[in-house]
Amino acid sequence: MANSSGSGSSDFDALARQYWGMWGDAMRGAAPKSAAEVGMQGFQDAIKSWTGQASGSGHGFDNVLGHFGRQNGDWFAQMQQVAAQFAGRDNSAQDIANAWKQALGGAGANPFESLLGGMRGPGLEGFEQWSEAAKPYLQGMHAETTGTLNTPTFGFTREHQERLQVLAQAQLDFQDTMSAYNGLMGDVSKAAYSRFESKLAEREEPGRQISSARALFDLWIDAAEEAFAESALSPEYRKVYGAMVNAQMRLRSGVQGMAEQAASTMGMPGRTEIDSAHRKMAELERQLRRMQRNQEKEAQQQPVRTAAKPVASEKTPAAPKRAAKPKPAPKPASKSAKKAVKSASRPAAKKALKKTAEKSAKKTLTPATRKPTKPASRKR
Amino acid sequence: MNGPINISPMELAEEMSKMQRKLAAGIGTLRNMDDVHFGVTTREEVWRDGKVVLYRYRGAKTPTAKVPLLISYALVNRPYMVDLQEDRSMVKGLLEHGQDVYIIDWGYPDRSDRFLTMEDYIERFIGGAIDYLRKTHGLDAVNLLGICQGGVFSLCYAALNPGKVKNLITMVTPVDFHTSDNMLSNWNREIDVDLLVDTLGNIPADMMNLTYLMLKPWRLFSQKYVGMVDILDDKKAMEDFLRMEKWIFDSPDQAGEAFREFNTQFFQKNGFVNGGVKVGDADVHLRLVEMPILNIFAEQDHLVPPDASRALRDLAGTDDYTELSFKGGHIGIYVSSRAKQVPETIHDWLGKRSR
Repeated sequence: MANSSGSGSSDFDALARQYWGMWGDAMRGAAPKSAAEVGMQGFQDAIKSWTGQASGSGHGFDNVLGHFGRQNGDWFAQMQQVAAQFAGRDNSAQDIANAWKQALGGAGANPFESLLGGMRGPGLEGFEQWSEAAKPYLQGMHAETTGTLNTPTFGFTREHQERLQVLAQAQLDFQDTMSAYNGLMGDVSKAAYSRFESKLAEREEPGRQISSARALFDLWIDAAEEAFAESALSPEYRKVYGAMVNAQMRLRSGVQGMAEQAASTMGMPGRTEIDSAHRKMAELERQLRRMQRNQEKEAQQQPVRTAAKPVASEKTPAAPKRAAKPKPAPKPASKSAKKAVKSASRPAAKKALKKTAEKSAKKTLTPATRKPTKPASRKR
Repeated sequence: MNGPINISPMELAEEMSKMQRKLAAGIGTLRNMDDVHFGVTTREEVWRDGKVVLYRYRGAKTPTAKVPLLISYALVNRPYMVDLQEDRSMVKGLLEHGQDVYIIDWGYPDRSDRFLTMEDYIERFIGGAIDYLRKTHGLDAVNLLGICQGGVFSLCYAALNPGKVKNLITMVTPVDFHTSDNMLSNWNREIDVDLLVDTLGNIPADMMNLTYLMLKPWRLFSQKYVGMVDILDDKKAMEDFLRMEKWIFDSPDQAGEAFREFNTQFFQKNGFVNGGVKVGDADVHLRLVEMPILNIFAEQDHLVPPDASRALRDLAGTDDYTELSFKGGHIGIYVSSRAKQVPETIHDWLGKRSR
């Protein structure tokens, strides 16, 4: 088998030659095995070998391989097998559609469930992935609560028991909603097979016939996407999908609550505490900005007032002077503002915040009070 | 042969053999490829507020436009899509026409940004950037180009600050979120957004990516990679492919509170159409958007259906409304061969309104 550290593509070449050689021979009727017998394993081995050779080449291609290698080769390889069954002989739309269905697992096959369940890899997070990641924890919880879901809780651990019961129920609910979603995808799969057969029937006349495995694969993609779109735009999908997402969020929320509880027992901060701190910071920052804006507005009105009262303007000669100094790009989140936010948790924070805010407001305010100048590039 | 399939065994064997050759050649292609870069135009940071940065693009020639053009991109992907590569850059096209182009880069929100609201994004960040431009250019108002979700933000900003936006361009911007062909909206309607945000905090980028791929699961997660085999022996095509892949999966997490507000007000309540959109304490009414509007949408857009964008015509308060219906998809509008018409149209439209 190939490895990524190999100097060339010889491993892949050898494996691929072997696979496609057998495949070609089977097609030509020169080999004892049929194309179907050459089978998926050979193709998968060849693709696996190629993936190994191609990985580590940089340019972000490893991420692409993460998606490519997951299952895409398989779908196409299976379609190749189907095409091989009908190459060189009469066929019908129904036969091909049935063969495709068989290739994917028979009457109950649910390719949508397989595809969506397999949509993972770099940059992707599906709902099943989280469930798998949380599985060990959930299994432990499940063992603890089996058979006691609806029994009354008592004793000094009753709150803990209650939380476990809620969590176990949430897990069951999520499984139910996931089953409902997969059931809907089963319906979509059936609709996709049906559309595939109809599309095949449209290509029976000479001139419109399918002349490659790839074209057959693309036809399936069209059928599958149309069937999915019809469902995905329906009120039923909205309901089933929404229920699944909501159920998982309830489950996640329960798990997080348990984790926080455990963290709290050990004196560690949890999400709630950290969120609370972030919320305070965001609110303080917002208040600070409001104050700055108000001061800016006041300052903009000030020249009018000073013009009306020349005596008053003499009292504040520094302000216009400072205002005339051009400043670089204003940074509303100035150091002093950040300081104010930091210090807000200390006693007398309000006072400090007000003072610092006023100070920093003047800083950001100054460019606004002068008449804006055009940049050099505009003087043409 | 009778039936839908008309392939000889030899033809099928040759097809397989061709695939093998492509795969084999691909290893060589990948080993000889240069690093994949994106964002081709020189830009300089001119203003910053936290993680949000305002960049000014520098083209080969000095801008001739008197009013700067600020691009506000969506939060859900990185804004370098508008300047992806040398031969696919809307920014480059705008600069070549003499526009003075700026862009807001929202950055990558982390947990400390969870409580950023729509008001922060609209009044603080877009507003801050616009105030900076007004100040440095000595203007009362600047031109604003909002893309997708950034277009929604731009509409809100323009409605709340009409005196600061001279001309408004919206690109692939949803306005009516409840058109019957809006899959994303359909999926959002039954989701308990409060529970989602309270549970997740920020919305993970990987979850957003999955949602977008699920809109066309077979095409985007299967057919695309099978199709990639066809170009494995083409270095340039592979570079383009990888660049696009990088962009697709280079998604920031979404600040939880802003996500909550956006989803509730738009995806669920269809606020622009039904009313009730609020940014902070302020009510947003599209009737107050009275400046000239150029509304650009894509005819094959699976994320923002054209009708979702067209709704702006009847809802905006402007008497000067223009539409450009682009033959392509949500991404093709920047990177397809036809995309060159977009900067040209924007420039011409702005030109007529600069006098």
